Amino acid sequence: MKKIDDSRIYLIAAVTTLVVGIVLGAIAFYSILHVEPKVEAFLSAKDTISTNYKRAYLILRDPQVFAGYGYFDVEGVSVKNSLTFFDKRVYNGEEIDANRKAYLELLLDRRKKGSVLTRNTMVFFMVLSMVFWALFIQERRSFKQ
Amino acid sequence: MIMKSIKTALIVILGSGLIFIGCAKMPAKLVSPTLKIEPVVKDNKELFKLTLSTGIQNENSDTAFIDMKGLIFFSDAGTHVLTIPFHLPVVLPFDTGIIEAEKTYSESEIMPLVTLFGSDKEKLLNEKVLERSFVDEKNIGFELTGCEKKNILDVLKDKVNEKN
Repeated sequence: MKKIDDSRIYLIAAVTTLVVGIVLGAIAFYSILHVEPKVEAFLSAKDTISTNYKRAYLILRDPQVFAGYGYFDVEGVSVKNSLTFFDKRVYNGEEIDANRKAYLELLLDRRKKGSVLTRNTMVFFMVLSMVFWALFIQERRSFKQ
Repeated sequence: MIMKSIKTALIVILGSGLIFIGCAKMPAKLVSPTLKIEPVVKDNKELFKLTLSTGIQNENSDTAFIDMKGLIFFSDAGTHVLTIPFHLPVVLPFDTGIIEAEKTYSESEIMPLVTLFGSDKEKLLNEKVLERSFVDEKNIGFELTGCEKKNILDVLKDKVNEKN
């Protein structure tokens, strides 16, 4: 029976999962290494609290890809309420006092969870890519033989 | 072969990415409309004051509705019996824009609506008020004549910059 060369399929799968893994990794580590520390710095400010909290909120208002604000479970209702509250405050130019820090931390926590999820998904795709590369190499070798 | 495979892989990635692109959800119905019609005397004329309280919900997470203009209509079997214009300067995400309308109408203008809600002039004058807390969805609706959809982040950034 004639053997079918599956190496092209393995190569497409390997490249696809590798690209997805790289993109996810970039998203996850941009948030972990750049965005989250920046928000934490604004939240730990001791003076001009309202301005710094607003800056932190503007960053947090743009959600992490894996922690979007489109859908909420029961636990996420507090996040939804926080968004409504802060949107109004910022839009109306009202102050955000130190008591509201916990709610901003709630939004930061959601972003952090999203980053961890993205990083874990990246690992999954990288492992998947490695498996496909291995299959690709094996298929090429067996076909050459 | 490798280049062709990479090309195919990119098509697969971009194709699946299209699934995640969404668009803003427009409000389709009014939230808890309540209506009150009272007879009033103005300049020795018998008129009827209509008070309408309702809301329009923005269910989007990242889109704000700016300068929302439109008409609330009462309809009887598809025919508009009365229309009320409204304007909401802004409806932020997950928020409800409250519409509080108060307008005075003549007898000929208001009576089709009074009849629609199962009353008549005599009954209204005797009871002094016609009130409905639950208006059937088929009797009330709205149409938008203007609305700007803006990303909430842009709206908030503009506001913060405006203040600075």
